Amino acid sequence: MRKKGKKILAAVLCGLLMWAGQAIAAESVRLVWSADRGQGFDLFTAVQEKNSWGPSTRLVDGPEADLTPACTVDQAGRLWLVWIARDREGRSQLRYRIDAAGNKPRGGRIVTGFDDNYAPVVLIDRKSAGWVAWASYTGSSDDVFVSRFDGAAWSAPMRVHAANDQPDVKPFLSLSRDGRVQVTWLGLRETGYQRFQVQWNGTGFTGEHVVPEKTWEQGMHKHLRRKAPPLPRETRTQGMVTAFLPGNREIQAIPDWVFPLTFSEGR
Amino acid sequence: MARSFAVLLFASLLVVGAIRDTQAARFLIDTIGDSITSGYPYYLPIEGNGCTPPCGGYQPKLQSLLLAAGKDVLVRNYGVRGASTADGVARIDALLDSSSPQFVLILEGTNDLLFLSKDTVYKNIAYMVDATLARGEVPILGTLPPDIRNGEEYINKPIVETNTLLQQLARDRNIALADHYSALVGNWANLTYEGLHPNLAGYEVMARTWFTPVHAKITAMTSLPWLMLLLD
Repeated sequence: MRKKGKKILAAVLCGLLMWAGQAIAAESVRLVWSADRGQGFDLFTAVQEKNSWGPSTRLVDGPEADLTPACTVDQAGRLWLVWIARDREGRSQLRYRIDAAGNKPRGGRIVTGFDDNYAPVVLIDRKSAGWVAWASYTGSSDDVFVSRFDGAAWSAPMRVHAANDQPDVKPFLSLSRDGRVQVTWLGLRETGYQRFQVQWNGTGFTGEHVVPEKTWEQGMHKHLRRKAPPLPRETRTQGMVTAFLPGNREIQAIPDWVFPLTFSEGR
Repeated sequence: MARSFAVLLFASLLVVGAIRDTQAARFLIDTIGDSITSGYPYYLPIEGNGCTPPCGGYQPKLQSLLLAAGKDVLVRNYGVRGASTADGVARIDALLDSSSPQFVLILEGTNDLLFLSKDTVYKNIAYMVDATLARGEVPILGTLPPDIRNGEEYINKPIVETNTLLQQLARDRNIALADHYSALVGNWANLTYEGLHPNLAGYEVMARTWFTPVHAKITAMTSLPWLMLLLD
């Protein structure tokens, strides 16, 4: 009886520690990056611990080059990870992984219908649904697509703009103030690149408009105005690191190819 | 008779003066691109400010080669570390408006190939080429050097395929091309700093590769008045 009581106590303590760990993780800046530590490019992660980054752990270790990661953390503390796995033939598949508590990751490939996929980003909406956006080369140009995770599978890819033969690249996901999913991306038009944005209305993406570059930069700077240690040396290859920024209502994570990650002192 | 002679002499002096002016004109050559253009790792803090030799990687040698060949040139460095071709599209118009060069050497794209397709690199470079041509300035394209970081073709970036598109672009627009990839790839292990950027010897090879088309273009431009005189 006494032995059983100890076991129950240990289980409760363990649960509390896990809960506390998740709570700490959910409130700390988390980095995910791609690096080659002698076994090809794999994905690694570390969490901010006051004035330094905690120990890094390997997240993904596959035969392909695992590149351009993006991540977020949901209400349950699960890490959502999307990235590109590039094989030796140069095909670039879109991959995902959802780290459930107990480290039993659920993951796999998001079928896009194309061999060349680039620069994914991920976001959790206020109904706890996961969204991923990326660019695919469709045979005539790069286009931006979105897919939604319904708890069991990812939806068929939805192109967020009208078909054209000009590049539409580097998507970014955010939430509007009223909680709608927004996709922002760069599109090459006659006068150069412009930053476009659309919003999910429940059935499709609408309201395409141009976001002034100044507005965009100010918004990003606002979210990076926080106290965090300098990036680990290993992350200093452009395009290989993403930061989950806890506590933001509209922007959850920023990859460094969307905006350079240079944390500033918070005020 | 004396008056006719004076008019003829005056006209001759004007023509000779015009020719000498053309020959003496300083040609401004702007180099636009990423860290390979900026001269990494030898010139770190420039960030595309148009600095002149000794600032740069291949620029000082290119300038000295052209000066030695009798071409009065100033080579300016507008390389920016980490720049993508989308960045190039974003800054080319303002840059050309402010600097008004005669030649624009464009070498960009290796930073893009993880985030977008080679087709987009091609379209971005085409935008930069067309912006240059629209101002009556002479663009010269460079192919992308190899990238063998980590001991092999770096994570399968499609550099060779992208270069094929750039060669096609040069043919389509009837502009000159400096094929750095071909000039470097055979000895890249000895010409690179860390697999992506050239070392000093590599930058010298690049300078010689740029030199050929730039020298040919300047020669053609400065020879034109003589040709006109002969035709007259």
